[in-house]
Amino acid sequence: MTDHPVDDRTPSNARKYLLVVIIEVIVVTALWVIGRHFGS
Amino acid sequence: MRLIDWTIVAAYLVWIVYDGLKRTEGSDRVEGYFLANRSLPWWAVGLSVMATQLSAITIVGTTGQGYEDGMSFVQFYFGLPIAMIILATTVVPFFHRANVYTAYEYLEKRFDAKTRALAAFLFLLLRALSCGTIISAPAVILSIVLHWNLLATVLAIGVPTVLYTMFGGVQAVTWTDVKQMAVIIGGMLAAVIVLLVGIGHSVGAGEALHLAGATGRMQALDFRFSLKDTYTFWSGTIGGLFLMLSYFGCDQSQVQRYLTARSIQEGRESLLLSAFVKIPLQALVLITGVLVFVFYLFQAPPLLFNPVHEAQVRQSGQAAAYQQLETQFAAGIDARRQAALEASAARDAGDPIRTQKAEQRFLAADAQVTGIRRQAVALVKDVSGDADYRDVNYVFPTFIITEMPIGLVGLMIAAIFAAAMSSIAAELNSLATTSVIDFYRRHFRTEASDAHYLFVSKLATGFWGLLACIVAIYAVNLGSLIEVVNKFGSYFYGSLLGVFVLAIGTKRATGRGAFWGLIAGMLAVGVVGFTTDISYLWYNVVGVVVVTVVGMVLSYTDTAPVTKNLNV
Repeated sequence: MTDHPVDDRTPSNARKYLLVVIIEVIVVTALWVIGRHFGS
Repeated sequence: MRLIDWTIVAAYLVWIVYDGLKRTEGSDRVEGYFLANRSLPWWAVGLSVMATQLSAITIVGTTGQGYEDGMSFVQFYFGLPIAMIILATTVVPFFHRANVYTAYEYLEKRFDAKTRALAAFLFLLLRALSCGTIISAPAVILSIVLHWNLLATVLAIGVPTVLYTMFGGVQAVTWTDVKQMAVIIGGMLAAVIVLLVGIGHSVGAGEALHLAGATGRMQALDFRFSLKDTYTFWSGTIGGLFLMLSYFGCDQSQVQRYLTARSIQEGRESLLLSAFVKIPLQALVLITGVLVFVFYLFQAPPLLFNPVHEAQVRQSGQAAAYQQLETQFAAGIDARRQAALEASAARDAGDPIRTQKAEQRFLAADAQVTGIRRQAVALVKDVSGDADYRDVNYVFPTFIITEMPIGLVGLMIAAIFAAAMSSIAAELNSLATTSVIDFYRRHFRTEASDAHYLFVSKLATGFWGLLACIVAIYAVNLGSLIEVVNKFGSYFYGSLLGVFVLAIGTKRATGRGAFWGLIAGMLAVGVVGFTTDISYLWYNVVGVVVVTVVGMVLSYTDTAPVTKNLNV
């Protein structure tokens, strides 16, 4: 037993995961655009 | 370094040890010492996950990589966000509900004792070596740029870290990690500001990036598909995905971070913090290196960044040749500066033809400077006999010591210490956990009081710390040990991931299948590693596939396993 029992609830995190994917796409695209802009 | 900089470094070391030692609440029992009674908030755990991954090598090596090759290394991390989502939905709830201390403990619950012991042994072997090298690498660099004795730098990094990790346990590790991340990010932002101000005396920020872009350093993405190249979009996204799944899902130094979270949900969110922040953070570190390159377009850099090797060449039979290169280098730097200013002025004037011609002259001047530096490096290789010599790891420390203002030098050196200490602390903590939980309590002393295990845990932390310092001192003389350790890690990381795929992903897998699958996976990766020139990022994919296939084939030749109640 601990003072802080493990929380077994598993709320839907789908929106957070989708946000991770969207932000990664934005960051990678931004890196590509920056590379194109300053590389030309 | 001035007195005020030394004071800042000393104050940082005293503060971090004091802070670590006072964070011992609940650490008087084994669960508190290793898992903080599963009570930590997601943001602290998330920062600890990031601080563990970010070592001093990341700061000095990655900025050096940015200086030399530009932004392309950022692709190495493209698989990380997806890996974090997969781990958040799979291993985080599995490990939390299985109520384990280590990832390998779960393997015994699912399979058998020998699979657990083999996985835990592989972890101890790799981490014991890597812990020594992550002390050694910054210790060597700091000892050269600060003119310290090597033993003194090893002890300055190792002793404070061992002290607070040994007495404070995982609470001390996590809360000091939070502060160390603040010091690291603060230091890197300060460096970027100093660089922009320094470059601003010659050209604007936009022009600086155009000059870097003309040399190809702003090109972050490479869409070519090649199994031999490590830093491409595909190797980073696919190979990197498997590497990150292995590192964050099967390596106890990371698993233990999110096991301390106070709920499954907070464990998940701690990993998602890295998913959001890691790529921008690495881009910041790399752009710092790129800006150092631009800075040295207008301020004369040294011909060699490692002063020890420079002195060696000066005292050797190649001294005259080196002096000649220095004269050529000074002229080349001057020509490059003029060409960079002309290219910048042409772009400012909005004249595309003049800009193109000026950029061509700039690139030719840069190629000449690079060629002279290459000849100087060849002289070092000849004199030292070190065929792998590169001095990119000394670029950023040299910039810090020679170009940053008083006060900020101390902050940056403290940031390098912080990066080293945060990684070492987490590794010592996880080495102690695995050696006590997976071996001592499992095989040697199965029945003893909690106080006894706590005492042994502290001893184990001290033992691993001492061993890491000894390995660090000897690693210096073994030159390419870091490369050996990295390669060794990639030989079994993917295979270990394969075992966890069998454990969590299938009900049919048996202990025999998992154990022999793991061995087959490591052998297959060994064959690929020794007989082909495929990039090591792809070894992880090979490992997972072979372990899963061999493990499942063997499992189907066994009697179906009795489903164990893992409460998962």
